[in-house]
Amino acid sequence: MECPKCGSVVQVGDRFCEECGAALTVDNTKAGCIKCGAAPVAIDAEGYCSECGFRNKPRDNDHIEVACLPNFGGVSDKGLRHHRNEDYFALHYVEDRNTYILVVCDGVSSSLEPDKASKVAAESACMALLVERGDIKPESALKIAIAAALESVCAIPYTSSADADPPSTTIVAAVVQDRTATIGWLGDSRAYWISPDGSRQLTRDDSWLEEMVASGKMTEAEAIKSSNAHAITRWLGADAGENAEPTIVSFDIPGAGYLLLCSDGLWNYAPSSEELANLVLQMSDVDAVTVSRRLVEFARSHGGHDNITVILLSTVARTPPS
Amino acid sequence: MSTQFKAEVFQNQYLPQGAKEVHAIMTVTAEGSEGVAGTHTGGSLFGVICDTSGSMGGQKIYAAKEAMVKVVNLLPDDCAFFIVTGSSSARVIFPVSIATPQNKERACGVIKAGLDAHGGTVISTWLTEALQQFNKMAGAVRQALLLTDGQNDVSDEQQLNTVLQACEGVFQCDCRGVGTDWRVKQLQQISHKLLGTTDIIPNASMIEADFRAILEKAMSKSISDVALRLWTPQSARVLFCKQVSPDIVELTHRGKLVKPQVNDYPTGAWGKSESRDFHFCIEVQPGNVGDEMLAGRASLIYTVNGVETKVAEARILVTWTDDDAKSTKIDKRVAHYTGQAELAQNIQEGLEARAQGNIEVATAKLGKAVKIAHNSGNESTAKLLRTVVDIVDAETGTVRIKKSVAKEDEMALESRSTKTSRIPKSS
Repeated sequence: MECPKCGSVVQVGDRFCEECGAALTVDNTKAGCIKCGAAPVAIDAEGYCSECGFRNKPRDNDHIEVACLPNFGGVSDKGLRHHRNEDYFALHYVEDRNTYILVVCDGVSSSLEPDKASKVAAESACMALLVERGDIKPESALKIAIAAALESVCAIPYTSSADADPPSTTIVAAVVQDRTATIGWLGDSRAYWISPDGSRQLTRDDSWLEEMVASGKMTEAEAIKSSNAHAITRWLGADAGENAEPTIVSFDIPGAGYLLLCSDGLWNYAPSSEELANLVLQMSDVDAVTVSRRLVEFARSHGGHDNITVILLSTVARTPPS
Repeated sequence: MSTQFKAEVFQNQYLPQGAKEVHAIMTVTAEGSEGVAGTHTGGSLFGVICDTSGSMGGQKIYAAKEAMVKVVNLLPDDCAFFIVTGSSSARVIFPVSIATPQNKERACGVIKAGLDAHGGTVISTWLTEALQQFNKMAGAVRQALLLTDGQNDVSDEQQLNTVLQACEGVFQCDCRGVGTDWRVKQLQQISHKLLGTTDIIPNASMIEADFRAILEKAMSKSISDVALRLWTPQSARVLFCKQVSPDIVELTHRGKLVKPQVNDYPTGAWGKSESRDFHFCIEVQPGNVGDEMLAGRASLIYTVNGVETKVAEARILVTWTDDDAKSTKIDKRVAHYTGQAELAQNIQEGLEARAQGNIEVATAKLGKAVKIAHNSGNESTAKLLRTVVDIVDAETGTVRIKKSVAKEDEMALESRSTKTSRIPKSS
């Protein structure tokens, strides 16, 4: 991320540029309308200008980078074809429990307010995992966290419409403690294990394609041609009903490698764990956020048709400071 | 005020790049709280304006008198009323009075004793007298019923226009034509300006039931002078603004500029449980892909003793997108009411063509109307259409114009063609 005034590199979350001292927090109420130049008082609480009507967007999620630790970070980007980023992620390292929390959500674009759905889901799942003091099993903690995410997605106000579903999002969340990763998900956002000693996909999409192939009704080659191929069968949303029950798996981390969580904006361009491993292992000497950014750039260079989100926890480079 | 309003907007907010026309349907529902009486502090005033020209002689004037007596007796004790009769000139036979049992009895006596049918039809004079009565109770819910059986005197056209200007906003008026010698367009000119309805009463024996229904509707109104306030962005144009349910009322050119970017459109009085739909079409300055815009903010405003109160508000939004899947969708309510407007227009044009003997055009227009009425589930209009055409196939709109059509059927279709249906539940 760059300072808008002097162009020096600044970290997400910084309030002032260390080089030039410019304030980095955008305050629309003081800026006036970017479209017609109307006075700041003309902008209403949601950013609409009372003169020209255009919206001054309150906050820009188009590109987010978070570098939590050198071995732990993530990037989300709106890609090239969508007009906004409907993905969101949250990550957190809990020092006293030596626990990593990773969450990726991909708002369902046919639903209402998908950007809000992914944001509140990721934030409330992460929050729920944070407040669990570690006295329950990670499986149970994940279930509670995903239930909390569901609750906050259902609480998003929206104007009902016959043509669109209530706010909905996918979710994939992981808790890494000691050498065990526990992963829960709904929808087609994925988790992978990437390692020179063997890589694998840890999640199984809740998608129409996956169901067809699993039930033996179609081969993958047949199913992928259908317009339904990408339709998801489970999600978080008011209309998910009993389908909002996540699948939870546990994975023993065998050694040095990367736990990668991503939205379909990335894996559409490299679906197999081998393809992803090829990309990641080429650049194993850099920070997790840099690897994430390069994966986002890879997806953008292949079309960037969807929003792209990648978060990465490396067990290769360094161990976290204790 | 015990009436609660709720406003909801239905639209596809996504526009393709370069597009600038925004459509939205707003549904406004008024819901009264149970058990609260006298919500309107100013009370209500109901005026009866009855034609007593020469053509009303005989059975018609007799039935009208009977109906007026019934209506007077049905008035709630706490409302006020007056009666004006008209021919070449008008006469206030009973001035504004509270509907106490004594006043009702006196009014009935006057109706029975003093009404003779003679003279011409100069409606501007009737409305002038009514206007003076209504001005006596400016704070009340003010509604009138006008009954006539004939055409207005040709020399009155200009004067009528002037008087209508003066009456607009002072009272609302429903018009009823008895028999078939009156002209639909003429009464519609009055009822449109005064936010009321026009309908036919085919024969005199039906007057009483119709009056009863009008009074009932009038007495259900609890808030008067409600305006639809529409804010639009600078450089935007309101291409049209109309009520589309329960019937089509063109409001586009009736907006009053309140301040820059804000227009008030009149919607008259609202009842305790009433729901209406409005269709807006706004032309805005196109944005770039990804831009969002507030294309309109519509609210309902009523004014009591000079104090404005906003009772409901809804927003019309636009987002420009390059995703065709989003921008090509048409909201089904927008589509439905676009169809209902087309239905009304086809009926009007079809009847005109038929009157001019252009059977080919009439068949095409009325056939189209049958098709839309059928597909949109507008049963009542479909039924009226069946009185003027024989339907071969409703699905395709194949019809034959009937050789002989009763005049009252044609007039009923003409006066009720603007009645719309709401979107059917099943679709």
